[in-house]
Amino acid sequence: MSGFVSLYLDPQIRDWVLFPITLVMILVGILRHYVVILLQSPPKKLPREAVREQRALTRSQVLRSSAANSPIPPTYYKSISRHLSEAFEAGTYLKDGPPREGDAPKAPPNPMSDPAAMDGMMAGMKTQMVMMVPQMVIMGWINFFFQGFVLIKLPFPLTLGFKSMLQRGIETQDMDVRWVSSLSWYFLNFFGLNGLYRLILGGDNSADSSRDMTASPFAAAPAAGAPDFGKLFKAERDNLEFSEGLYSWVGEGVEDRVLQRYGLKSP
Amino acid sequence: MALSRSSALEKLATFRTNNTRASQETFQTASVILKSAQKLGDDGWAVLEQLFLAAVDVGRLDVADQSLKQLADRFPESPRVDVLTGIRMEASESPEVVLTYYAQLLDADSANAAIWKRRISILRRTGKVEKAVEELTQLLDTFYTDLDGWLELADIYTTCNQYHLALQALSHALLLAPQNPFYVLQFAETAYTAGDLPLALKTFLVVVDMCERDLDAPEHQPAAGVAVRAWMGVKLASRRLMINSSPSASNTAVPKTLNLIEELATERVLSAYAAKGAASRGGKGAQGKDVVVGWVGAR
Amino acid sequence: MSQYSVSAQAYFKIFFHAAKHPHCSVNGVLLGKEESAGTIRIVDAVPLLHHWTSLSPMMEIGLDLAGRHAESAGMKLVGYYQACERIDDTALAPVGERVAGKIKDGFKDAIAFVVDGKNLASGEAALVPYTFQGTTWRPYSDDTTAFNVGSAFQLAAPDLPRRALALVHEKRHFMFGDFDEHLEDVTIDWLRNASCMPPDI
Repeated sequence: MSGFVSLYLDPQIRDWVLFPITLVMILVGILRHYVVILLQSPPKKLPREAVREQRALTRSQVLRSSAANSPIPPTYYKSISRHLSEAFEAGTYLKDGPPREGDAPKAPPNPMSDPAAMDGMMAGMKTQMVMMVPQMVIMGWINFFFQGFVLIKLPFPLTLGFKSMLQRGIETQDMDVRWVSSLSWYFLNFFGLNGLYRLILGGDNSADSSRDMTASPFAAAPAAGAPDFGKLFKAERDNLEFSEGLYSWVGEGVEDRVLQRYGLKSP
Repeated sequence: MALSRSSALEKLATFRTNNTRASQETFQTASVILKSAQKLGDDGWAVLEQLFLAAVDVGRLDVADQSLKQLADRFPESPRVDVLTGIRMEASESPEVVLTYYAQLLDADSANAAIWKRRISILRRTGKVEKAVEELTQLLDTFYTDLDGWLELADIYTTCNQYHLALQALSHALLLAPQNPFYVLQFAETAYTAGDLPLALKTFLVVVDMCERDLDAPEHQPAAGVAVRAWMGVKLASRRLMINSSPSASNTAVPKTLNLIEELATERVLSAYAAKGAASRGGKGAQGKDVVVGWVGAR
Repeated sequence: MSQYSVSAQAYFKIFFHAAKHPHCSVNGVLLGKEESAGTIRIVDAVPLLHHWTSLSPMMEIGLDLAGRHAESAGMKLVGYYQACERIDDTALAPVGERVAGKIKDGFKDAIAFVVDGKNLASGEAALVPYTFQGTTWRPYSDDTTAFNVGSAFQLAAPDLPRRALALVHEKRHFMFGDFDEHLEDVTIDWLRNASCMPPDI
């Protein structure tokens, strides 16, 4: 099969199909970047209590992370640890204050009824739409006008496994794998233009659409819906207790360490 | 100014990252840069902000107003510009006016930490220390990881002679930045001031341990840098403990090897002053050796 | 009431210390001697701290060392000075009262100066004297303002503030070092600071 040219491509295909598809995709990517910037709403401002609730866990995490070699002396460690534990137990850090006696345990809030969660979902859906619509249009355009077109020949041989990737839309058994069909060229661009966008628009751009393919607008919803901090806090109490067992002060026996270093005390 | 543009920009960037408050220098460098060029890109706005702060610091309010106006035109409704506007108001308006301005901003966004901190600083400055402490505690309750906040709280407590509360605030700072010997040193000195000598001694030793951990043969090298201060602290605390053992509020035990420690501290303090004329010290010997010898020798 | 005169060296050092750390509170002690009954000459100043001024350990050591230095130079600790981090603040801090009280134990006519930040650049004497009156340290008040003609406080020469300002413009205060800096780099001569003084002193 190799050795002779089995197909001759009209240069007009290069000029009127290959280049336009590539150019249109680049331009759409750039356009999309700016549309997304326009659509972005500023991050929602949280009231003080909500921030406090979200960040309460860091307190105990900071305390625990250095517990085995803690910079603070025992009395201070214990008082902080106790204080946190009590606060978690009582729910002091909860956004709505400590739960009152007799309150029914709250069901996790429905994201559809919570306006904050709804907003987050809408924003996700808007960007999704900006990505989906133009890509669908381009794909339709290619399918309608250039279906079954062979656009280029790769300058290197490939195994048969690449056939389904490179010759999408052409159901020919014996054609050399090096020929690339129009639909496959579209997909190659779709996944491969990210590097170019990064060059043109900078690292943090939203032109790349292949990334968003993986994220559905609803996948983000559970994360946006608030986790049950009450439960998290209760769980953190066990961690605190565990760390208190691990705790040792860095100043414990420090005099011996220093003396040893100067050879004044045998280890 | 002989500085090239890029090195000047680099210098300003270093000031920014290190939080250096060299206002005169920043002011001169930044105004030269901004005069010389029109286009600076995104870096230019940061330089402009720097110039603004430096200008307020050195009292050139005209320059400050100019740069603030440029920033406000470019970033309307930016919370960061709001803070700058507040700082500019603090320079010329009465504290009450600025407090009202901050109160408005906090009403709109109660979790705006920068504005909240400015408000606390005004409260402290105008002598409403109790109110400032109350607000600062609230702020730290919300933004626990604000290291500067904890240090400020410790500072307020120390100036009010509330050393135990200061130690508590400092212990949070230590948790947040366990690798910084300066905060440990501050903790040690606060403990000493609070009268908790065993705790102070131990903490001074922790500083020593932190600074000399990576030295191969510490006994052959003179103590340097923070370690000198820490060794002096060790010497001071151990000497006082040898004269009379004082009770420790934190129940810290006095090391049994107190005598050895005291001798070692004497030796180490003197070692810092013994080295003379080494090239690394710029050919100069340690200064004021005689008084230090007198001090360590005294009982 | 004793008469106090502040030498050029002492004034320049206080001025340099405040100028080098404009955003911190700084403090130090004054060295001098009683020339005749009721006349005290403040000859020199020894700068102590700027990192944090309200903690005692390094203050204690610094005071002790400065006292020894004064003794070896045939002088005494006669006073304390401080500059606050805010220019409109001229109150003697509690720690200042304590240190000044300690100096007073060794020298009965001890004096405390607070640097008046507003006057630093004006060419006036930028020091507010505090004396021990009854039970506490209070700003010294008299018919004449301190450092004016006829006051109990005099500068060695009337042009000192202006000269100090000129020296700061020459950036001489960058060569100045205090005890805090000395502890980080022991080659800094905090007791004398001879290198930053103008040649005629």
